[in-house]
Amino acid sequence: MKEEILRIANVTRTIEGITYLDNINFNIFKGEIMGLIPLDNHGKSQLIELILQNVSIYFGRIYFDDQLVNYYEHSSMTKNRVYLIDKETNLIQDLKVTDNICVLNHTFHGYIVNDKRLRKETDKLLKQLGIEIDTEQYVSELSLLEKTIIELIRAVINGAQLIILDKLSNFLSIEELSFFQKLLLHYTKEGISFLYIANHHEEAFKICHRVALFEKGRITKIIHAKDYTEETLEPYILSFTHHPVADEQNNQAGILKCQNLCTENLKQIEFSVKKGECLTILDINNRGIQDIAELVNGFLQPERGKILVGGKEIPLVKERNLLLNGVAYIPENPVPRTLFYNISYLENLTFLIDRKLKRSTIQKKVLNSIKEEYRALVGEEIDAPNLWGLTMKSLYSLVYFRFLLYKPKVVFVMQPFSHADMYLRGRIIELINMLKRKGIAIVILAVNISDTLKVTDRLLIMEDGNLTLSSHQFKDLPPYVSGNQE
Amino acid sequence: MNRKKGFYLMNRIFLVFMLLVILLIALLFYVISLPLNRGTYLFLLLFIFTIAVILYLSYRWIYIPYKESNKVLRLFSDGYIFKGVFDLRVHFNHESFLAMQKFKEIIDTKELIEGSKKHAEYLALQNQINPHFLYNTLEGIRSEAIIEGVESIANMTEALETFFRYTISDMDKLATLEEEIANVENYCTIQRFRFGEKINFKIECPEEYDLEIFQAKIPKLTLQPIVENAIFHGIEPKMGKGLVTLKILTTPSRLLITISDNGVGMEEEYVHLLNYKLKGASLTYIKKDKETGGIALLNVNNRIKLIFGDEYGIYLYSKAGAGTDVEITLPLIR
Repeated sequence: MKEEILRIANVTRTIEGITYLDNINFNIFKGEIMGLIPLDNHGKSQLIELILQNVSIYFGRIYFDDQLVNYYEHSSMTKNRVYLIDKETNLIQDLKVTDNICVLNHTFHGYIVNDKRLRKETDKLLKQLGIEIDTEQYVSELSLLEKTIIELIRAVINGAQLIILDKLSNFLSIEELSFFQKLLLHYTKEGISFLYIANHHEEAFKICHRVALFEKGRITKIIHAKDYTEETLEPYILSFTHHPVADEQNNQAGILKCQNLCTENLKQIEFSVKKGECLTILDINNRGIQDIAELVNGFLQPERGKILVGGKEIPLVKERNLLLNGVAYIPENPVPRTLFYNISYLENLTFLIDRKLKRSTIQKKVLNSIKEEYRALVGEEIDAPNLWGLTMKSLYSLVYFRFLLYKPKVVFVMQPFSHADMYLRGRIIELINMLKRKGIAIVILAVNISDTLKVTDRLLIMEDGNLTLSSHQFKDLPPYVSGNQE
Repeated sequence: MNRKKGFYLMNRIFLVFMLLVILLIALLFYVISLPLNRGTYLFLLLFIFTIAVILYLSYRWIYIPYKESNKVLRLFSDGYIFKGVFDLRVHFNHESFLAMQKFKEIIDTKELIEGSKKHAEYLALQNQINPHFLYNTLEGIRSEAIIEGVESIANMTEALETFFRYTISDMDKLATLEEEIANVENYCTIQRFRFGEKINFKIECPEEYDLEIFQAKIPKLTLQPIVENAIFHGIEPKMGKGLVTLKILTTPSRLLITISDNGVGMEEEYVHLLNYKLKGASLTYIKKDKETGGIALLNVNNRIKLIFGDEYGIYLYSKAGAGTDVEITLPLIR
């Protein structure tokens, strides 16, 4: 007999005429890790909100710990004993680990904070779990993994019975994720349940007892652990195929070479990438790629080493130097960071082109020519006076088209698939392939392999800031990585 | 839906209430326009406070329950709920509460259950007299008799006899899960004479469960119509072997049975439509043409909802080419 912690029965949630949750039906048992794979992102945040708090629903019933807490007639707006862990930490950055765990929770009723005693308790707790974190440290000094662990412990101490984990692989590396998953399994034995939201079935299948597929605000399939096969999933997911670049391009000399680069987290790394090639640097423990991103953006100076573009050394003083020498950077979740919603599509598209043409104003005939060239690719959207109302797919296309037009020699892309649903990931693969076909070299910086192997030609593994493994050693990769291999 | 002409009573109450609010606000402006002294300030403060309290209480005590009751009535008229309409959180007045209770007595859900049961019996009977069903079964007996000899004919006849006896017998009482599964196995045995090894049936139940779980009570003929659907609409059109799996799970209060097939599945929009129909309990489907499909599912779902309440019933998961899972939620009755 299994006890349920959450039961969602025939729930429909409509906000301002849009149906976000459409007659969904699923349950989570006590001590279970229930996977949720959103094939598109429609309704995902509304579902999370609904599990956290008993907000108004159009129809259905929600039971938490076998009690009816929300139903079509009356929604009490009360909060359930559910905790959400995602990239945005809920911890107080300027307080110590001990205070975040022991003081900022509902079970602490003391008027006097006894630092010594709390520290002792926290140390004991962490020791029991086999975690080595200095409890006197401030949260702001912790790594993302450490913060996530502290949040998990805090949630459990706070009495959370269900913990929602939102796309951990977006910010935890493979090694970190593996460690964190061991903790989850430990807590399931104590009866804590988890809703594990993942982008990829390979990740969810590894840890979850059951997995629900979520699309258009509906649960389309619930898969039990013994049915975890590619065949079961095949009708539900898109398959992406890998088109390697032509050999002639690979035979050319490296367009970008990093020689002996050293920073605090990079240990004399060396790599090169060729024209039209896609190289992925997979950072197993999430230490080095942030430094590469900062180097490319001009926020960090290397202690030693140099970057050569087309055989010429680039002084890493400002971002501008790299861009003018043909090195561009696309950040993680690029839409809100690189696009300007209030200016037109064309202005966004040609945002960098003035640097390329070395003119402050662009001639109308050039603009018209660009407009007509890209009309074939984007259709009527090219005339859009602003970006409001465009789909996420169009906005991502715009980000990549900007570089297709600018045509840099190399584009560094940070975690390209991390915020994308399945359909968007398919589009990003197409866009990266477009850049490759144009002869632009791509360097993907990733902490998780995700769909990168669908576009990558070469894979380098980074561990503790060292490049340790190249693509021909695929067999040595952790199971989750090798599961993605083409 | 017919729309009554003229104002409804609640509309009239709201109109009068709005007029009163306008009057109070006008009075407020009048007081503000007066020369202000200490006394008027105090009065003004008290006046505003009183209006705020009245508005707040009206919102919490009148407006929200009114909207909630309206929503329940709307869901009832749309066929989403059936029994829920009798259990409003706040009734309009004592007389309407009494009227609802009387209404509940008059329509007596037993009659609807009877109607639903009659329809289930009718569907079962229809199967028995369905010439294709009988023809194919008899053809199977004949072929077996020629090829194998006497024993298989005896087995098949026994299976048929057991199946008919179970189906025709009293529909009133609940059957045990064990009896229902035996009936399904019997049904599969009969179908196997026609389809051969194409039809496979398996039961999955967590190892830690004791045999007592099979003594749980469920409405009679709950499983067989769904397995029949799985075979005819899922497995028959499919190439190769078919498998129907019956998964049993229990919670302290519910019995969860999932019947899965690896057949051809259904189109997404059709699944959505069926799930929409399965949300509520109504007998309108009986009048509709059989071609609209899913009648057996709707019938089983209806009986479950009418016997046990709106919170139990059937939910479907399916996709073209991916098979179908039918999840049946029932109360756990030992």
